[in-house]
Amino acid sequence: MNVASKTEFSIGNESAMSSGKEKTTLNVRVRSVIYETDDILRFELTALDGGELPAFTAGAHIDVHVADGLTRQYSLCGDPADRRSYQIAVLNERQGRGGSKAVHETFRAGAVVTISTPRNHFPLVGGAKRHLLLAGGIGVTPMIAMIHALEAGGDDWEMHYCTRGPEKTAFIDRLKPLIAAGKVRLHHDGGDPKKGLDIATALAKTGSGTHLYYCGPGGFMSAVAAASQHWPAGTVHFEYFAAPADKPTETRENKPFQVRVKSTGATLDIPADKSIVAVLRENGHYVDTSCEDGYCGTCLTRYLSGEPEHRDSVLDEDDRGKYVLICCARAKSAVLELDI
Amino acid sequence: MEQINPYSYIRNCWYVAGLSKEFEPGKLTGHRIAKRPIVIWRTKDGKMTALDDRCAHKRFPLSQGRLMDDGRLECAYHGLCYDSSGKCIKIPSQEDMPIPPQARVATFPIIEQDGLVWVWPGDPAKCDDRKPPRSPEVADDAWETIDSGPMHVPANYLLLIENLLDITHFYPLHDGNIGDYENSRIPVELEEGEVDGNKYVKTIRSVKNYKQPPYLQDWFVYDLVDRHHTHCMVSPGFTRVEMHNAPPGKLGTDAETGYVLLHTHTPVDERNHVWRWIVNCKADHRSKGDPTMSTAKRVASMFPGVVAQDHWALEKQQEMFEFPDEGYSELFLKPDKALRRARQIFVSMLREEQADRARSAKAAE
Repeated sequence: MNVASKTEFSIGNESAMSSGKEKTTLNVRVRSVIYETDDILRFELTALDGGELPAFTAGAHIDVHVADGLTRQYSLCGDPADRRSYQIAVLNERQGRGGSKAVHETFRAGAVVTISTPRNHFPLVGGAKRHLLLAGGIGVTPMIAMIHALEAGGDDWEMHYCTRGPEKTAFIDRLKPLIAAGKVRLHHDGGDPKKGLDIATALAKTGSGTHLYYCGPGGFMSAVAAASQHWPAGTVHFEYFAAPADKPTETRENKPFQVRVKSTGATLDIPADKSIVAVLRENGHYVDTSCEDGYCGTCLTRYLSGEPEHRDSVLDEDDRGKYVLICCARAKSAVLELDI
Repeated sequence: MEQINPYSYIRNCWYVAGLSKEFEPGKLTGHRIAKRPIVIWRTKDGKMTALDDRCAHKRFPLSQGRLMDDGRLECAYHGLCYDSSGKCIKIPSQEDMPIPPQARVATFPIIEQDGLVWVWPGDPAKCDDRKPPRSPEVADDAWETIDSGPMHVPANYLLLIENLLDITHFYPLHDGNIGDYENSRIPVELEEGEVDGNKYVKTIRSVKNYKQPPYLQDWFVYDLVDRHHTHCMVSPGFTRVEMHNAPPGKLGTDAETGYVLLHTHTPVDERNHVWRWIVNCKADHRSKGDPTMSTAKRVASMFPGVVAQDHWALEKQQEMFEFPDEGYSELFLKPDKALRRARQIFVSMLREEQADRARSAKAAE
């Protein structure tokens, strides 16, 4: 599963990728490839020496180096207690930009691939009274890791898992006993959301001390966001794996543009396959980043003219009038002038 | 590109070593500023002097020594004597031999201005690039000034700056005294610029018809106010807070009450700093809580309780820096813009110093 809003964004500069202080990379071996559904494969990744991998917590994701200049992020869907393997499940997105297709076509058992150490932007809240998980399609991947953690911790939880039909439902072996126990409920809509889970009704009651987690495709995300507005602040957690549904897809395609650097007056070309940060660094500008995911605000930069295409998940409209997160943003205008 | 940890310390910066009144003529004081040991004193003719606090002979702290009548500093260990330029002028154990030219200690640029003493622990050749921030209220009799004295905080000084710039922590940390829930919801504007070589970040919170939290009613008289509240990191060593309160519609008139609250934050090392608050109120203003008391005295009597809460928070926060991130990353919220900009200023200054060091290392080859 691709997480956050970076589905269409690849980082062309390898050094930019490995520069984040937590983002150390490592090589792992594809130990097995498991057929989940006709368009979802699950990959089991192990350390080259068969030893332990860096620990992760439920909800974490890794960057996967798919091909030259092509990096994708996938949630870990294995058991966090299992230090000997990472599991990722990848939907072959026919409408996508080729990342998942390349994974499906090139990741074979025995292959060595480069990944980052896990990072978690979607953690479970410790001490919550109850956890309610809502998964749409491939958005189930982080939830599978969460289920491992919640079961191990003896937590009170419940999951609704929405898919088109049984043939599109991944992890069914893992989920069967939990379905029998009444903890997981499957909802098949046959392609028409109206026939699936009634999200508004499911979320009408907040339940005291309940935390909500959701992940899924754009329409699902909007529906859950709308239905959970009355939930108390801090109890709703989500992760996008595709562009928010209200943004037309054509604006998400990477187009080349230029950045003007105020301090030097230089104008730099930002090609479609490189981020602003990557090009600035190639040209000797220091830019500090941490998440490189439009999330942590470390690269917050003021812009002076032009119109950015914001791709972060933290700035509001107000802030977007002045600031831009240059790790992920692109430009709608031909030139974007930055106050650096 | 190597990442720079902003929670370090900047050397090319003016830092407050103390208020002018803390330096009595002829009294040696030992300081640790940006990991440099510094001995500071005021000579009998009033001049400020700052030297490396390690005797050139055996590193003994010179601040433990004594000042002789003729102005020389005598080390308490082997009696080496130094003049105020750091030059050794006497070695008792070998008085019949010439004093080697290596027998000297480094001096530090030092400036006394507006009632504060500022030291530059960095490259002396660069001390004219930046000037110490001004604090005119401290030296002006129209203002009553009260300070906390030095407070040792076991936390990096950027954590204090972030605390000062982001008052959304007033609830819950200061709930019931200077803060309440409403206070955390006042919209924040951000201003940036450069004065005297110092890049600054300033947050501005203006609110109308605002019901003041308990302490502010006590100090600044009115319950319901229009309020203009600014926090400015003037330099990495200095933050200036201004609060202007008045009944609705009366800001800018004689009815205005408030304070200028100065914070000095001087790094000791990566994990410790010395914090001072200096409250300045109009000398003729009285508080509502105790009308017999000047506003400055009233604030100064109640403020330590608030500061203790911040001190606690900073210390606890620092403890969590001991753990590797391992997947942890900080959440960015709307009011954090100023903090991110402050961090960026720190990082750019640290990067500048790193480049300077690399250049001089290369030149030395």
